[in-house]
Amino acid sequence: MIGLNTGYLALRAAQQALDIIGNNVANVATDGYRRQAPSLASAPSLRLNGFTFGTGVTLADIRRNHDVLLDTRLRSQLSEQSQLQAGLDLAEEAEFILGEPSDTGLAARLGAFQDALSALTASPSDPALQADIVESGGTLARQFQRLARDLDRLDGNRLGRLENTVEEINSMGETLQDLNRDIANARSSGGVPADLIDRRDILLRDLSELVDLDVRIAEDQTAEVQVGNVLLVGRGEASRLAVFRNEAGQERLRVAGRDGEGFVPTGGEALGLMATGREPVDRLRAKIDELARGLIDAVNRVHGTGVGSSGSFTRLTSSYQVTDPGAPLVSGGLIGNLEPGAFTVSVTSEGTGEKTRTQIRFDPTRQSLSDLANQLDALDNISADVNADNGLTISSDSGFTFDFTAESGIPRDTTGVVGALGLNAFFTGTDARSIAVSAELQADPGRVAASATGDTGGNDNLTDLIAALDSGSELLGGLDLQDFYRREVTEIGFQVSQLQALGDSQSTLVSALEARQESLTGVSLEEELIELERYQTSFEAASRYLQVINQTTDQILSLGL
Amino acid sequence: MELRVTQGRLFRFSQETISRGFRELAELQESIDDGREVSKPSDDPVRAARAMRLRLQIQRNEQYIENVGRGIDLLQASTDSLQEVSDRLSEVRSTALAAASGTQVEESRRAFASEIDQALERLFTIANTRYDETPVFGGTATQQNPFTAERDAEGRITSVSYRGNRAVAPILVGPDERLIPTVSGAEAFNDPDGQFANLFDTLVQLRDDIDDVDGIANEDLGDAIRATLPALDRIEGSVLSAVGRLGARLGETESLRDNLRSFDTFSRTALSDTEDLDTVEAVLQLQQRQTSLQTAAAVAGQILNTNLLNFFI
Repeated sequence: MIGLNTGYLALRAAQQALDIIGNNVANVATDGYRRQAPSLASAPSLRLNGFTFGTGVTLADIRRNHDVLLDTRLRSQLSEQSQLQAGLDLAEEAEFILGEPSDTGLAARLGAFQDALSALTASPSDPALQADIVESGGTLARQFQRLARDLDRLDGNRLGRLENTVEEINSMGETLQDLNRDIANARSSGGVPADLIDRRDILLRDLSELVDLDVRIAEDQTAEVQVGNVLLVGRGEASRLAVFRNEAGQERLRVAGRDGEGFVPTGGEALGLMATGREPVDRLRAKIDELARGLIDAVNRVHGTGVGSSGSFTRLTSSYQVTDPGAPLVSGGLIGNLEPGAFTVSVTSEGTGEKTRTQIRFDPTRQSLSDLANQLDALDNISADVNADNGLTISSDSGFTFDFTAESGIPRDTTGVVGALGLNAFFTGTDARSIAVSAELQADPGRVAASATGDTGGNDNLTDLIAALDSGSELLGGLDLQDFYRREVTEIGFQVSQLQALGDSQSTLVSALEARQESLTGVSLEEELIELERYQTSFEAASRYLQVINQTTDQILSLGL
Repeated sequence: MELRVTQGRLFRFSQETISRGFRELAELQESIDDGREVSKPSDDPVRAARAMRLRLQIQRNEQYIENVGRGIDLLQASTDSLQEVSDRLSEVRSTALAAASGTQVEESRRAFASEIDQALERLFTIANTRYDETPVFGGTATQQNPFTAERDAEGRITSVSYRGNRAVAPILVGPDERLIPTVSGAEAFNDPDGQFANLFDTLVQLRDDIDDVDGIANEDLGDAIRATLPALDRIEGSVLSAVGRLGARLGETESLRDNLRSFDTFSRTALSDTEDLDTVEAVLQLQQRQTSLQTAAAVAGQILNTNLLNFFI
């Protein structure tokens, strides 16, 4: 009696197919769920009375739709997408910190400082205008400090985020390792652990957003994951990655607790944080520092050799120090270019008002700070020495004052020494973090050195200062301050818009791939409903068939009675 | 491969379309609120750089306008002072001519001398005029009054010396433009031919001649006065020429100020063209985007509601 068995098998197969459809429908909105499809096969046939009879149907397999190649492509594009996004986030943040174009950004602050200098030309000994220069110089310095601080903070956040990312990679690696074990166990007990495999694929997808992966799926469905030159997940324990900085200050990944050169991943958020987004931020930090140095150099060089309405000095201490007072001054670590030449020391007798001007010839490529101190010390009514900080202190005898002004028409300092040492300096500090208006000027704005000759109504030093700020600086690759800064603003703008454009086209690509994958592996309710009808019908038919068999059996039994 | 349309695909597509629509709307709203089309460098790096340059230009130009304003005040003050000097000198000249003509007696000579002395004092005060606390005619040596006087026992000026210099600090009124807002005392008050050290010495001489009743006889006074007059004329000429030059400069400077003001307007217009949003266009665009968003939402609603469930079961 084959019929009963055939009917039973048909009912069972339809029931199982309905179960599978039910599961598909239930998971229509589940992330990463891949549609399963029953694969029915006819049951082994039976040879009877010289004929071969089919014996019904069995569920041969549950097919899980997927395409390994598509998965791999999608993962690598996801890596690139999140790399670009992480880079874009950082670049946009840097752009936001600059806050240009505006009336409150660095360009405007620098402009206001230049304007304050220009205003004083109209009234060189007006205390309100002098105070305005000190004030706007201070605002400019604080703007530099704020930029440096915000960019430092951005870089700190970036590093923190990178460490989190690596921690997340490690924790996903461990989860994947556990899943591998579960999959292997389930396989050995015979099942196709579709849910585990779905989870594995979701995990691989999420992991690829953090870092670019090489994935190999073994025969037993366990995954082997290679990141850079490290086997993150394999048969044994998962490796843990760590970030470190190499000697060049570059960030690298390597196995935690081990030495080695480390590696840079080829994609993912990790690369975005280590390179794509770091480069514009690093560049900007360096350029803001360069700009601050360019400003300090340009201003101090001219300011040092002038004198303000407060008059000449009885004592000056250099704002900057050298590393070795015995070494040639050029190797002392001072800002700006130093050249052989001369500068003037002007000594005024307070009683008679008589000025004695002496040209000091100095070669900073050969002579040292000590040499300079000795040369100055040899002047009448002036004493000079190298102080305990390796700076220079100059003072005049009582009844005398001194400054570095010269007769009009004579170049005041062709060596650059006065400005580089920060004698009568306007700005102190060496970069954007440390730039400030000198304490002496803050205490006495009358020291704003408007005059190059010593006459309090003169503004020749101011006009020189204004010209210096508007002309190209060797420290800034020949650009003037405003042009240099504007170039960096434009540069970050280009970087952001380029990353945006790349990110947009990458998103389109990822969307297209995801659409393909969804189309291949997703659940279509229409399809499932049709299948539902099909197996329902099949189930109904099988029931009907069993009824018929039942009836025929009944009839046979009734015949026998 | 035939494309299967799955629920996930439909949802995702609708979601992407609608959220893109919203994002575009939000961007537009941000621009409209801000009023600027280029509010950050990445909006358009080249235009942002141009906007920064224009902002700087406007900022500088404003300062030049302020500087020119101060220059004009100073020019005005110098011109007024020198005009008064010239007026006084004419008076002195008439006084001297009156003294030289006719026969004087001691009393009238003393009266003429006192008149000239008063003019001398007034001119001395004018020469030390300060504008905004700074001497106008001292060149760049502004730490003290440019003219100092030696006085005799009766307090009368016997000689005046100039302690200023010839350098006048130029005011910055343009990238390459400087305005010299006054003249130095050396230039304005000196006898160009140098017979006397300066205007004051000439007047001292004149006053002393008239006053010197014992030294110069009444009938010789006319000749003595006439000997001094050429110097007086030369100085008056020098003052008048300074007034003329300053007046001309004043005119030029006022037109420079007008130029700077129209340049300001021009730069502001250029800045607005560079970074501001065309509001009319933006509002039209807003409506257009709203319409397309509404369409997308309607289509999504239709499609997502269409499935076999509406027909089966």
